[in-house]
Amino acid sequence: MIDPGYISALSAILFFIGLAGAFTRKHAIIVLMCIEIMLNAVNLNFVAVAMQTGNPEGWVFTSIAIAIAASEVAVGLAIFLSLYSTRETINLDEVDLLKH
Amino acid sequence: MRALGNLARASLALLGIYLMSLLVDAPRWASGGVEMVAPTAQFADALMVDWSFSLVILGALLAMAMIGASYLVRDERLENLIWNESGIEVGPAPSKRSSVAVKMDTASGDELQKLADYLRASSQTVFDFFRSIDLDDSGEIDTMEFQLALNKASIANLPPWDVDELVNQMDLNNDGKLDLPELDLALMSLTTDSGGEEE
Repeated sequence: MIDPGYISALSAILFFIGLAGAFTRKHAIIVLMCIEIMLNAVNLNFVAVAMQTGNPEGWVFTSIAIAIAASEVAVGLAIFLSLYSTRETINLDEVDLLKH
Repeated sequence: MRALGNLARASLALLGIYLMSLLVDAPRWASGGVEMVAPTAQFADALMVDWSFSLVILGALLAMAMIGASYLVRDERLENLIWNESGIEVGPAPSKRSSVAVKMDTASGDELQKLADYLRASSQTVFDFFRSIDLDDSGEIDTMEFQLALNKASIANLPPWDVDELVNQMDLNNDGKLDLPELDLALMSLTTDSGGEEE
């Protein structure tokens, strides 16, 4: 079995990659993907802790987080599509007002 | 200044490596994990018994989110639906393997002339025609409405990108839509041209 410490370290690396991407990139879809990377990093950490403690609730949290992430992607892409049809761009520097 | 920036980056990287080593070597992980007995059964038990109510609430919330997402893209879905449905041909011998085929025409370049001829042949004024194809009574014809109008008048069943080009040809103020004066001017110029050619 893989040491949960290594899994946790991998999740920390993934989280900071996602964080850096979310802060530095300007394309909305890439930012959404970076947020997804952060979510999955947290999932990985849940799994590591569940392995360490022998408590299956970490897996339950992971399952819930995966469902929420899927829903979040659907809503995010719908917002971007709607945004593109009104603004013709999804560059986050240009889309800075929440008005039509 | 650049050297200072590089030094800051290197320091951050070193700090990250140090923190990572602390994380990996933390005493919390010393036991190396617990071997669970029947982990799948435990997971199912936790999911279906302990967290069942929360999951039902979560499912309802996610369904609401999906409905909201589909509402946001309703225009695009309607456009795709009309585009798909407008050219459906059902084969003579339907079988389980037969699929619907979408038959679209290719733009020949004389659709506007055909439209002018159609109006003349059907004795319609541009105003009457405009009102009949303005489905949402917005006072403007968008690409979808013009596509449906061309199809209804048996002129052509064009894909949206070809209809876009036609609309752009007549769209004088470049708003992507046709108003009555724009359509009137475009058709009048065609009528004048063909009249001049005939003379």
